[in-house]
Amino acid sequence: MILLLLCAPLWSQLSVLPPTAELSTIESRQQLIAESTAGAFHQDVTATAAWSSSDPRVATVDASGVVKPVGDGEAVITALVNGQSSSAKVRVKNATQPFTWSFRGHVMPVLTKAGCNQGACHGAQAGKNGFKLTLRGYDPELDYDVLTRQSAGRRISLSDPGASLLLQKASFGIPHGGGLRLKKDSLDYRIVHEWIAAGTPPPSDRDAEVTALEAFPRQATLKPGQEQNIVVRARYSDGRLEDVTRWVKFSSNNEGVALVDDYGKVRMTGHGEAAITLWYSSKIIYARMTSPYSHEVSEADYSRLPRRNYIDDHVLAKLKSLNLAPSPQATDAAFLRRAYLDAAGILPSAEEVEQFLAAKSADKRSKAIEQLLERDEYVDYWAYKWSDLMLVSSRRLRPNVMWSFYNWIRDSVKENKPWDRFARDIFTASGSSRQNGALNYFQLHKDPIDLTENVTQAFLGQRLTCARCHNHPLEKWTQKQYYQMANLFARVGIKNGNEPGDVIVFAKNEGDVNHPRLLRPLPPSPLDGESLALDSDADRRVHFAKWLTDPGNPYFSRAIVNRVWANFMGRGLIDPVDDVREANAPSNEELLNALVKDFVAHGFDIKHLIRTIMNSGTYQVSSESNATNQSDGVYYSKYIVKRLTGEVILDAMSQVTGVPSSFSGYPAGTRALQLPDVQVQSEFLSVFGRPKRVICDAAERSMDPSIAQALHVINGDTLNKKLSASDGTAALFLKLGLSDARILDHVFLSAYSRYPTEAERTPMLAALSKAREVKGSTEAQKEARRQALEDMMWVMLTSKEFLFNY
Amino acid sequence: MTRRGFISLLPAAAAPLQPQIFSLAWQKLLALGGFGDVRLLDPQTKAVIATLGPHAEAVRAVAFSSAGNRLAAAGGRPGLKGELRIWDVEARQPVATAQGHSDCIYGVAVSPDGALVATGSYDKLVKLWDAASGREVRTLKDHIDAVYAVAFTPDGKHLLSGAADRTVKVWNVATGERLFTLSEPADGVNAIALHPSGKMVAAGGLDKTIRLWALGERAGELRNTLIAHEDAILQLAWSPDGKTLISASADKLIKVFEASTLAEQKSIRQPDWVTGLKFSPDGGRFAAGRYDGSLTVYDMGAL
Repeated sequence: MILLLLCAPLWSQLSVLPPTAELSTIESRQQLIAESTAGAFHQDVTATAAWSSSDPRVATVDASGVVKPVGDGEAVITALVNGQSSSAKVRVKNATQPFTWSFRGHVMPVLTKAGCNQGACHGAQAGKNGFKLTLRGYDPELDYDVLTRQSAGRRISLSDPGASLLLQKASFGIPHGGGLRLKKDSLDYRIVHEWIAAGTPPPSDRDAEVTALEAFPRQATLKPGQEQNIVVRARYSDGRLEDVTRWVKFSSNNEGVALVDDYGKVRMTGHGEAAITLWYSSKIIYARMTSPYSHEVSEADYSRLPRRNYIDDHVLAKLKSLNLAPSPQATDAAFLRRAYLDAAGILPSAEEVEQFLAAKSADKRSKAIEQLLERDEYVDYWAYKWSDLMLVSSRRLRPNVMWSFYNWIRDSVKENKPWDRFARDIFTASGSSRQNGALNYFQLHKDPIDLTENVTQAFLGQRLTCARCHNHPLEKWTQKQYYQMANLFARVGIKNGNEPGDVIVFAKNEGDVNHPRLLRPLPPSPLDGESLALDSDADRRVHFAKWLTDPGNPYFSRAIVNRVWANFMGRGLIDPVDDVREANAPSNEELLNALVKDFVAHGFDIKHLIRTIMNSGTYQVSSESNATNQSDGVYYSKYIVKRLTGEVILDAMSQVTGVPSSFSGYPAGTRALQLPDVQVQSEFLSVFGRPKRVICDAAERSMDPSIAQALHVINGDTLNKKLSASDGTAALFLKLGLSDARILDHVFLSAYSRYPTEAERTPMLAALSKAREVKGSTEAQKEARRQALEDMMWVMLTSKEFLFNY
Repeated sequence: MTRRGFISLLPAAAAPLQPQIFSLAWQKLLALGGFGDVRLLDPQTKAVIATLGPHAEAVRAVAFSSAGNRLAAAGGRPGLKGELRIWDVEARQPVATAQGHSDCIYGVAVSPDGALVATGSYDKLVKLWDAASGREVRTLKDHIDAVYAVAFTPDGKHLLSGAADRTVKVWNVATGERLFTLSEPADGVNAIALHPSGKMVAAGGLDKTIRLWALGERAGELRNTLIAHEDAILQLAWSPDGKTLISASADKLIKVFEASTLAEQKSIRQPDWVTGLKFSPDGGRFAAGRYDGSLTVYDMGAL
């Protein structure tokens, strides 16, 4: 460490974090961090700094930077490192006031941090050894009774606090299956001991609650092997600030980059970026730890990524912070194929490719994008995608209303209905689900619990199910919030409509959902939004829809922006794409925020969002790696290669072979992406992971490879029947008598959106021409040529280049 | 509440203002199990007549013999050992001290003839002891979770035990054989109360429900069920005339029921969890001792 310091450049800068601190009780402490910055790099120099207090009668500071209150007033705490100094202002209050540890504010955090109430211990559904706490302390009142009263008060001994079973077991004074949790000389032990000695003061409704967390530092750029302490401060509803670092649950989302211990000490283990998630009292934030790769990347390397809009600015900033060079822009051919597949789920035709490749205008890519966004196939593709999301299927809807639901979605895409209106149309409508297809949402999700869990997943990317039974253990959502939300849907009425399948959705003027433990309804309230009074006669769904689509609702726009981004970029900025919880840090927060801001500013316009993404240099980057970005699958330095979905593969095979698939009950020529329903029989689609549209979860569509897929493509009759069809492209080529060279170009253009290379052209032409040499009848000669052509197409349509988007 | 509020202002390590009550029995005298001792009170004046001790930790169960001359007081160290002391009430002297459970004792009962003492413990065992010598007579082993309550039938032939394993078990005292199990409770049983005739038993616990069974020779028959409280039932007591059943719960209510129908007659708010609930021998009053050390004697006629 000393060596490092001596080597530290003279122009390094020192700062103390947090810059100001408050100690509001005699037991309050504040760990300060001395952070040295040299260029882009940070270094935690807390341990080597010389710490001093301007007024030890107000506050003292120890050698490790921990500030302790002495008397009321203000003091300046200074760190001196290598001749440089920096200070923090500390204010001490209530230093002479009597102090008692509080159950909610101290004892529960101690027990939670010690792991007593975790799922594997006393937080288990059945508890452990007759002692059951609520999971991660979601119900302090209940835990209080269990600790102090239950089993004839066996766990607490008011008359002899140290003899309390709670402390005896936790400190391993008597055998404990959970081992040693609290050392006898620790502050945590002292807190519990003194709380018992003070007569176990109970939790009260007046206890201050944590309203926000702050992390210091929030971001640091470090080298592998370096360590950095993170200090976490909680802000309480009474305005107080407390250093709560010792009770925070820390975790790293990328242990290959950074590890974090139980006390917030981060150790960098590799290059890249890691989010250190900080959970305390159902609040979550993260601190970002970056360790740039050791590549040499020049400005010229970065300039290979053209800056077409703000997306490129943010991606470049991220790539620069990590020393990752972007791949060059994709070729026209690769771009066109990619754009068609991503935006409309189809391949460009051979003619479209030829025209595009031949075009000379500078803005030909933008023009191609504009044309693509006006096509019917674009509407089919996105209608299919949102039908996945809305779970459109005849499994639980009769065909008449299944069609109503699908048509409503398709019409919405066609008119580019803003996403807020799309959601509002569902949640504010009443009437017949046959006439207004959107209302079938309430036929699929009938009870308030199902509605709560689906709407949060589909429109907000929040997985709320845990909170049905207890506070979400890793998230900010509490059971109370869950049932307040559920109560918003307590008055959705459904009755039979005018024909089978049709239902009438209407607003009831009574009905409530009880909180399962409190056994009474709570004021209906959308997650962290405003509550309605229980006796309010306002339509609760309207109240919900207003909150849902409010431009200020961060989850709503983040969720949809992330879904659309992932469609094009192969990976959501937040991954998995529908897990937009706070603990799941985005790979580029600034970019996501900018996209969301732009999306909201443009009135939740999906097409605008798509256009912005597709026109960016980032979207048009090549999928080929360079020396620096081989392992990057997260920061968009290259295009992420993705397997085509089953529907797209099937349609592309039909398109190239000129032989449509047939789906029972649907007109000839219907493409897979035009099917409104996933109940339509198709083994090919099932094998390639078509979702069942039963639960709202992006993982319902399986993108995993399987042997069955390979066999289906290679041996199955789906492709082979298309190749050998008498009215297919292969037969047509022969009938028209096209030259082998022209046929070869055509097949390459329609399957790969490019001309064959010389290395491909020569052997393939040789094979085709060899088939002409077959002796015998004209029929036999024709047959030999057809066979050769089919084989050639088979080779191409089963290749990776065909099955993937790159 | 005010008491705790007051304590919280005291410097750390302040002792409780009044001794806590962990258990209660009523014969001629009132016995209150406390921390490290048992206090004997005059039921009229509530004056402390004598203090019996020492006991290890809290005395979580007390029971008089039917003649009132012996007191069985049990407790022990949670997680470590059980302790049973049998006291000569007149002489205020211990007759016997027994140690045998591996965790503390929650239920104690003296057989009608005064010869045996039964204990139920967190260690899942029920034990029978010789009341004169403190010698262990036998161990009754069948519960799979903590035993919170034990009671002898008036003929002394049977012993009943209620446990956290959601059962009440009926035992043959002479042989130690388990005769049958009442397994209707949906969660742990905290308390049992026998009808004075010995023909009925009531049990209550974490499922907030009072259940009444008629006891036969080889089986019990569930006669009545009532979700009686909003939180766990802690204590049950049957009046000597068999007409009234009272319950105390973690919802901080004592409820008075007409025993045959379980019709609720009265509900009385409590300042803290009730840890001891017993009728006076004449049935005219009942006493409630609480975790916070407070004690109230209720007059049945004035409810």
